[in-house]
Amino acid sequence: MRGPKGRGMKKDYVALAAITALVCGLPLFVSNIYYLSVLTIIAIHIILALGLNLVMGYAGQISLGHAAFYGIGAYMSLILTSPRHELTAWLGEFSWMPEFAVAAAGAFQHFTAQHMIAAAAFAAAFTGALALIVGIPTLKLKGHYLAMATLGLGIIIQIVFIEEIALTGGPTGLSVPYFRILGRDLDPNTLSYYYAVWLVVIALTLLAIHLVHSRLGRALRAIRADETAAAASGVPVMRMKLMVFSISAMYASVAGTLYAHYITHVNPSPFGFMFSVKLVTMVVVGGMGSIWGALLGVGLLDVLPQFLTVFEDYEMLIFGAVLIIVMMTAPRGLAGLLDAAWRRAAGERK
Amino acid sequence: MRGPEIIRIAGVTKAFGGVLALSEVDARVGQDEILGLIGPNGAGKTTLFNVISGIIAPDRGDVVFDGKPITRLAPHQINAAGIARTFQNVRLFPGMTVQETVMVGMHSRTRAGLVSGLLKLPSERREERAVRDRALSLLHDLAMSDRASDLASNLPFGKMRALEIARALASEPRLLLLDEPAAGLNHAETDRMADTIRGIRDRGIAVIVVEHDMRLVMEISDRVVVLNQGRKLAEGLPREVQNNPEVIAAYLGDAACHVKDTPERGSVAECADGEGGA
Repeated sequence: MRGPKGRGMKKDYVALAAITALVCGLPLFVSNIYYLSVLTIIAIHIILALGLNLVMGYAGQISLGHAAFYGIGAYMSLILTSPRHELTAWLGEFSWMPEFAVAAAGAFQHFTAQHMIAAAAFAAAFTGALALIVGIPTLKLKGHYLAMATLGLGIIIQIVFIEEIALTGGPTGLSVPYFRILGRDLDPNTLSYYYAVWLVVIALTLLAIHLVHSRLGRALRAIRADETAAAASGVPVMRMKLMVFSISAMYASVAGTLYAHYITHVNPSPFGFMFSVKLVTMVVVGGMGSIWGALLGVGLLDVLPQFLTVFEDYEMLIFGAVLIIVMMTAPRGLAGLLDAAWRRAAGERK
Repeated sequence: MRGPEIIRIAGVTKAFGGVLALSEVDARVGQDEILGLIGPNGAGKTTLFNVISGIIAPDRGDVVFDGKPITRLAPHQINAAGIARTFQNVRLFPGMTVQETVMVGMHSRTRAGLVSGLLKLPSERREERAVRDRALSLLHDLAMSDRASDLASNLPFGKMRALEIARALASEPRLLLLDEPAAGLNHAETDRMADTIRGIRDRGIAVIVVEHDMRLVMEISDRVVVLNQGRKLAEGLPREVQNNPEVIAAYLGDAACHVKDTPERGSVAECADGEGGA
C-alpha cells in the first residue's frame, strides 16, 4: 500500500532530475562567462533560500540573520584556508588564551588549509552550533522572537567583520585562495566551478526533499499547522524548531564557503542586514513551505534586476513592494500559484 | 475504580488571574474504566485536561501517571509516557491528509532520526512503510480507510472527530482524554461514538471523557466526577451522581429543570429543552 507521501516524493525526484538535466545542458547554450557567473551566484543563493525556507516554511519562524550565517561560512574559508592568514597572531593577542590553545588552532588551520573540505565542514558545524545558542532561549517563546534575536545577531556579526581587522581584514577584506579538492584547484573562471556549485545545490535539494518527506518533516509540517496539537501528539516542538534552524544555518554556511572561493575575496558588505531581508523576500515570493519555492524566488529576484538595472537605486523599495503584494495576493508564493494552475489543468482534463 | 490505578490527580489548583479555574481537585482513574467528567460551562474540565496533558502547568498539586509524577513534563513527554488527547474544537493539521495525520500521532512510538531521514536509509524506509500500514489499519478500525488520502480538512465533521481519536490512539496510549467527543454529532454518530469509546476501554485503554451530552456520559461512564466552579462537587456511579441533589442544583439548577420523584428511579432531573440540561 503506497501512501500519498510516497507519490509526492517521486514528483520531487522527477523535478530534481529535470533541473539537473537543465543545469548540465545550459553551458552548451550559454557560453558567455558573465551569464555563467550569474547562474553560479543564483546557485549560491538557492542554497541560502533552501535553508531559510526550511525555517520559514516548516518551523514557521523568520530568521533575519541568514546573511550573517552566510558571512561566517565565507570568513571561515578566509581564516581556515588562506595560508597567509595570521590566526595564531590574532589569538595570541588575548592574554587569557592559553598557549596550547593557540598552538592547537595553528595546527588546525594548517590542516584545514590542506584539506578545504574539512574547513567547510568545520564552518558548517560552527554556524550550526551558533544557531543553537541563539535558538535555545528564543525558540522557547511563542511569537517571532527568533526574528528579533537573529536581527541583533546579524548586526553584531557584521560589526565583528568590520572591526576585527586583524582577523577579517576590516572593511576592505582579504583574499581567499581557490578551493582545492582532490589535489586540484577549482578555478572560479572555468566551467568546473559552475558544475561544482550546482552539484552542491542538487545534493542539498535532495537532502531537503528527503527531510520534508520523512518522519521529522511530517512533524515539522504538523508544527506549522497546529503547534499545540502537534505537541499533544508527541512532537517535541522546541527540539524540532531548533534542529531545523540549525540545519538552515549550516546551509547558509555552505553557501558562504562556495561564495568565498568563487569571488576569492571576502569583505563585509555582502553579509549585511539588507541581504537577509532580500533572502526573506526570495523565500516569500517563491513560496514558503515548498522546496521549489526557493528556486523560483531566487530565480525571479536574481534575474529580474539584470533587466532592470535602471531601477538599481530603488531595488530595496521594489523588493518591499513585491513582498507586500505577494503576501496579500498569493500567500503561498509562485510555487503556490504554479501548484494551483497545475491542479486546475489536471482537473479540467478529467 | 475498575482495574489498577493508572492516574491520580492530587490537589490540583490553577488560577488564571483572579479566577480560580481549578481548586484542590482530586481524582483517580483505573486502567479498565471510563471516567465521565462533567460540570457546567466554566467548571474547569478543559483546564484539567490541559493540566494532565502538560499544556498548562498547575499552580499546585500533582498528576501521577502509572506511579510516576508527570506534573512538570512537556506535552510531548506526556504523550510519550502514554497519555493522548483530543480537543474540544477539533484541532487537525490543515494541509495534511487523513493518513498523514494519523502518522504524526505515531511520532513518539517511532525513532527515525535526522541522519536516516536525510539519507533515506533502508531502516528509515522500512519504518515509514510500517507507519503507513499501521495508520491505515487504525483508520480501518474506525471505518475511515477509504478516506486515507483525502485532506483531513475536507472530512465531514463527525469524521474529523473520529480522526482526532485515531491520531490519539496512534501513540498507543494507556490513558485517552476525550474533550467533548460528541459535540456537533448527530444522534446516529453519537451512538457510534459511544461504541467506539467502549471499544477503546475494552482494549485496556483508560478513558476520561468530558461531555455535555448527558445521555452519552451516563450510558458509557463507569464512574462520574462532577466539577463546579473549579471544585469537585461529587463523584460516584452515574446513577448516584444523577440523583445527587447537590449536583442537580448546581449543574441543572436553572429554571428549565426541576427535580422530580419517580417511583422507579428516585429523584430525577427533568429539563424542558429535552437536551438533558446541557
